[in-house]
Amino acid sequence: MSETKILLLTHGGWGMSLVRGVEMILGKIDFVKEVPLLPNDTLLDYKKKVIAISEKMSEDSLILTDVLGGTTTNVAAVVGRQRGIKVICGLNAPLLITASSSIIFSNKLDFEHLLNEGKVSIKDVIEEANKLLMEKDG
Amino acid sequence: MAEIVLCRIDSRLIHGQVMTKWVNQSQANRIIVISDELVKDEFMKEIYLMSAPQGIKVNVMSRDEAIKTWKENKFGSGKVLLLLPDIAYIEYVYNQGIKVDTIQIGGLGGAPNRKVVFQNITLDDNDIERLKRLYKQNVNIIFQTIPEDSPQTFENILKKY
Repeated sequence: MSETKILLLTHGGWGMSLVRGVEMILGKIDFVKEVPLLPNDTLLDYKKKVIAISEKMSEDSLILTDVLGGTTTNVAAVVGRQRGIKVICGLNAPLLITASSSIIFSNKLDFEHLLNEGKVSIKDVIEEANKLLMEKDG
Repeated sequence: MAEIVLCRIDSRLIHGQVMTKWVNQSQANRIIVISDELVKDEFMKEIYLMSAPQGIKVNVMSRDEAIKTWKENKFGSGKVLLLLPDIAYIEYVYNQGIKVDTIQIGGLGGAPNRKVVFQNITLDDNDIERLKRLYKQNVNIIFQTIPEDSPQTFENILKKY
């Protein structure tokens, strides 16, 4: 069992489906673990589970959560602050791919780069392509 | 005078269901969280304020601040979603003057002495007594976690306890 470098906190546990998808691109990423927030979890139950896993994580690891304002992020904020572990919300595939590749290739995470990657990964695809075409023609 | 469009008891306070479902459903443009604990926890308070949906103003008040503001100006203006962590809180502020017509009970945390009555809602003997006292004062009490569920009445829930 490899050390947990990235912990996903998601509603209902969709993070593990994302992991399987990302593994199609990157191969095995067994340093990614998840604590799903289940419908019957109370805040306290969930916090306990997250603390238990975070205790085995080093300070240079990362917690990725799905939505700001959700219990996943609220709990991550408390636990991450206590443990000195970075928390980024807004989990998506590009974010997980970038974070996982950094670990695979350099065994460390560049948080600035990750935040930026998350921000630029959402695009209006056809609109952007048309804009580029216009510039070429122009 | 503000209008209280929803008074919800939810141990998680602001979280996914409240932000996405109940804010829209109730058409609230303000959330007032009443929590003595949160007032003292500057860090968590910032997390909640930071995660407010666009256009929604969030205030965090202690019980006594809330009662005072209510007495002064009925929370000022706007459509308020009032959020409290447990049933003891609502009984306290109700008795001190915040007379809401309806309270909606959402998620309440589990503990060994608490019994599940509906989905993730649990109650203990003290809660039942508190709710009975509120019920006697004609407060409409409903149990509902998300808008898609049909609300359960207090009478129904009592049968399950």
